[in-house]
Amino acid sequence: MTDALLLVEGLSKQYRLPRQRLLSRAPVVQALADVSLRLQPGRSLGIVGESGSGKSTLARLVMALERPSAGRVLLDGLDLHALPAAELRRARAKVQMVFQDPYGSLDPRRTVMQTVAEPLALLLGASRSEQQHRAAEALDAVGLRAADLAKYPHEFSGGQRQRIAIARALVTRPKLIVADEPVSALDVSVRAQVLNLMQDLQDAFGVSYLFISHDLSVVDLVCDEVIVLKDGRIVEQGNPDTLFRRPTHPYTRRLIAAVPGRRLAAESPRTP
Amino acid sequence: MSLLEVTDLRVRLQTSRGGADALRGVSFNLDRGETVGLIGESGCGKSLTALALMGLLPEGAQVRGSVRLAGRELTGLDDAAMCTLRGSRIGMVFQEPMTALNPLHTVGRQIGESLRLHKGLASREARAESLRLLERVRLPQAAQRLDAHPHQLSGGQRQRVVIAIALACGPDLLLADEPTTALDVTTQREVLDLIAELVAEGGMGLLLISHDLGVMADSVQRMLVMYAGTVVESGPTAAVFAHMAHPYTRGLFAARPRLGLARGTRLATIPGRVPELADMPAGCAFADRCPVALAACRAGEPPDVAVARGHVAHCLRAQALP
Repeated sequence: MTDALLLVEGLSKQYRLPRQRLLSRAPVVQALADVSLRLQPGRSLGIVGESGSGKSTLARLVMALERPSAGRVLLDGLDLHALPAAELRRARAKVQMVFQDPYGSLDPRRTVMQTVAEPLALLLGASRSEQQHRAAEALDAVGLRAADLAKYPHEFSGGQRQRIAIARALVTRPKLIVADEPVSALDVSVRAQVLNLMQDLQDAFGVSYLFISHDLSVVDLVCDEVIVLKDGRIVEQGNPDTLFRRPTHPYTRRLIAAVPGRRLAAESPRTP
Repeated sequence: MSLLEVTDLRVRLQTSRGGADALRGVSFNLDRGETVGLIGESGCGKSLTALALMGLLPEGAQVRGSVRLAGRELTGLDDAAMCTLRGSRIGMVFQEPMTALNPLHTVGRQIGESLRLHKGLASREARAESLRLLERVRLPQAAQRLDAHPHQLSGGQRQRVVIAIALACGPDLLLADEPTTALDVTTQREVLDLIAELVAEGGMGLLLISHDLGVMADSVQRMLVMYAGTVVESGPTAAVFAHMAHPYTRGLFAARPRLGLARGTRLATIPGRVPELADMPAGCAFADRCPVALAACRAGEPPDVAVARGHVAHCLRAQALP
């Protein structure tokens, strides 16, 4: 099939650790081992696993922030790690990233306008008036006002900051957003708003998500397909309904059994 | 007499916009062997309550009300007196074990510190006792780990070390502020089980602070839901989840993503945002976001309504909710 937006084939990444002794070989850690996956346009793929399972390494390789030890990443048919620098920069406009911590991912000394419009100038060379127009459009899409463009990050709450980070990701009209734990740092009520927003944006713009989370319930809600990573390898993969209800791999079962408050999950919430 | 009696605890902080009431009358009791949870979102005052109990409030904070530990009044104690209580009568476990531990000292030395300080043990005795504590928190290869530095341990192992430090002097009260938030789910489960077991066998009181409703449901006998510096609902955990007598508790519960929701479901959200400390409204602080608020809710402080035995909602409309 050629219609996949993101195609990852046999992706591996090894990191060399500091040498333990002068004459011994440096030990190597296999962060990702032979991972293959495909993501269709407008769909969402969840990656779950514990810390050290290779989730974030996968994200960095898909974003072409690091080179793989083996395998390739095809975005819209383009082999990201084989592209010359100028073409890679153009391809980067198609994939954007949202990070976990909205306090750490926004520069406190730059206005929202500078932050949100930066990818436009860097990746697409947009004019100032076009930057202004598209930044306002992106803010509107995430439920903030164009007047907020002149403000600084400290004037916003955590949930609003994450909206700004999402607006920055949306501004180049990407086909893929890699979201690495996008709601883990948010409060329960704010988390719900941001999750709803991400789903609304998908409906409106047809963007695909590569959604990395350690929170199974969030992935269950947002994703069409889930991959369970353990020690850099895919141990189980499938539709969340099946995978979370009838997990076959013992590791997936262990993850599900550890979710807190499973007694609560059975009760239906009452709305006031 | 309860182990811990907190009565009308109020904390006023100095902010850039002048004084602001960050805790506005928090009261609860905690017995030996009992587990109580404080739940709420950022800025609701749950961590500030813990800091007030430990006498670690920021500079310039004014405290009113009363905190009694085993009958002894803690508010107004000077630093030296609080220091003898912290780590000996009150054990603490924090969210981020990497910052709670000193990266330059070995695990054994950090556990031994409070034993030498509070119990006057010699270093050899302190080392033997540290080893016993590490075995009690079930750190694998405890004897070798005594000489390890924090960076050589995983997150879950570090949190076990922090718990060992908290337990070192056999405290009466264990304060755990988001102890598992930085950990993976499977590790979280192990650490929560460990804390439950230690509390049960040591006869301590546990005050667990978390923003996670699931963690609360699994870990504590009684819970207090906090919002904007007040306790809006309190009661036995099962009763609170069964009735959810305050609209805020219901809002939190409905906003929670949970396994088994259909793909694409939109979660219920709580409209608006928490009022700023400096512009707290006159009446109920939740009124502007509440789906069932009346004009009377904004007029004055809401009453404490007993919904059932030991289950109280700080809400004018508590009886009117279905």
